[in-house]
Amino acid sequence: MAYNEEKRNRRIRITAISFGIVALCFYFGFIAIIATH
Amino acid sequence: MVDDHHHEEHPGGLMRWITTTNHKDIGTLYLWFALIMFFIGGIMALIIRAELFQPGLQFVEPQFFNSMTTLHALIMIFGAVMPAFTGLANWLLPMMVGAPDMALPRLNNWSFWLLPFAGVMLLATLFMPGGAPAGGWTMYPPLVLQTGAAFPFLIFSVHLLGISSVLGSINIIATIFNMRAPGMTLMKMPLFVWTMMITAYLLIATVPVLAGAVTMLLTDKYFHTSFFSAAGGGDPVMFQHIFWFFGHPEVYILILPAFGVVSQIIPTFARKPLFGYASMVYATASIAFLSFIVWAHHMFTTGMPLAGELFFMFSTMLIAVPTGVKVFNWTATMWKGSMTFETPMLFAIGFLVMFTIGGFSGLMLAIAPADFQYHDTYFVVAHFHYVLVTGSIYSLLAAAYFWLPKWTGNMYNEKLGKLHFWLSTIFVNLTFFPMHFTGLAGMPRRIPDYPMQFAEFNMMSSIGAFGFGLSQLLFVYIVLQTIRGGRKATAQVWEGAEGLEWTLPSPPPYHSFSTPPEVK
Repeated sequence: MAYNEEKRNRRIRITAISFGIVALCFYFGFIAIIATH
Repeated sequence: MVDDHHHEEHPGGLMRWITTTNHKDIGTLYLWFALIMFFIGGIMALIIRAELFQPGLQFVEPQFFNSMTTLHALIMIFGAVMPAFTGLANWLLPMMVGAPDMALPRLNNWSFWLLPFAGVMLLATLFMPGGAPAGGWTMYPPLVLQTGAAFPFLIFSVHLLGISSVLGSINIIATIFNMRAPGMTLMKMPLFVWTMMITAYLLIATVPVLAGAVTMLLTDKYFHTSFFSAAGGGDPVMFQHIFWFFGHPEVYILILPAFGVVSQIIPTFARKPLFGYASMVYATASIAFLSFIVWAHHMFTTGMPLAGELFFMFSTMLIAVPTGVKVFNWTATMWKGSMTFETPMLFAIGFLVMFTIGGFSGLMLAIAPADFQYHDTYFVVAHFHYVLVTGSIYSLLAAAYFWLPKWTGNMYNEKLGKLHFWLSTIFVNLTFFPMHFTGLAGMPRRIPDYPMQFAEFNMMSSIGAFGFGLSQLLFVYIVLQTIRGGRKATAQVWEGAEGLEWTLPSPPPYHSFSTPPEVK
């Protein structure tokens, strides 16, 4: 159980960080594209 | 991360609510916040309708009138409807997927507590030099750049609301991906879970775009950039493209969870499984995809090339296909069902009928040449209020009545609930149906005065609006009465209710499923 919980928590962390990075990329990427357009 | 080794003790009093990481507490906070904002936004709507009761200027200055239309929209969208659905998601997702809590409970607390600060900041602009923002919720430049001291507060408030939404969405996705009970495959999830997941995707993809756009507005005003200033080589119409790239998916962010709610309620009171579950999932995903390629239908009158007008016209009309699939599926679910008409079912059927009216007027607006006549008239106001009030708000009211016995452990007063439904339905139609006529006759939106020819219909709308507003006080009374006591609810509450949340006692324990249930 302890192993599974650790594995699940790692998956949660990876999911959250991935989507956080996507959101930040959308924000800064979007401004960068328009600023350099 | 969520800790499975839970204990029931938690702080009491105010600190319970400030420091809570419990999904039910946070869900409750979201729902109360949304209800308060609903009434604040509602008071603004009533100021608008009081001014429009008769032609001429009666109660407020035109500038303040414009602030009311702007803030009413911002507060209802970002302060009421979106937090209300996040509140529902917080309460229900862990219980529906068989999890003890949301995947990221501390992030959950932060997502919520950003909201009151953003809301207060937005409302504080009413007391600032130059007045509250008055350029419309769409914040089009160059008009919005004329806002006084309130401008940076508007922008920062939108940023905070956006951060809250994105963090909430990350939590929803992390929960659905990682916290489902054994056996709960994606295609076994309740429809509400599906719609919240797809909504979360939409939010993560579009809110940063809005945040980027308003950041560029900020730099245009204070740091001498010219993103949207023609004089400096920029383009104000580009803001409209960026805004509506966010704004149109936002419309679906406000309605997809409503589809999910209705998909839970109709099968329960028809006592039949949802007709076409898989097609409902695919229709939701299709609507989400299409919502990204239709944005310029809000801009038909800006002078787009003909090819652009045609593309956005046809892609918009295409949305009617998956939406039609949903409407027919709900109808087919009711077909030959053993139906009863408790208050949640009444609101769900009200949703089905009146949301469809809003959908049809949306199809009319999608026709580019016709839109040249309808654009910026009360016809548009009628359309989106049918979609958002009798659509989103009705689904929220249906959800409140449906799950209130589960949340509180007490049954609400059915007679009063039905009275609330009928009063709301009569007055909401009295408010918004005449707007179709004033709009088609050419009355523009966002004006405090109008010619005599529109007087009768406006008077009807204003009477309807006050009636609808007062009817919602009855809802607050019913909710408070149910929290205080009443007939005890069983675990299943409704005879036809199916799903994991109905296997828990009413009210459910502080942590929903400490041991994951097995889903067959």
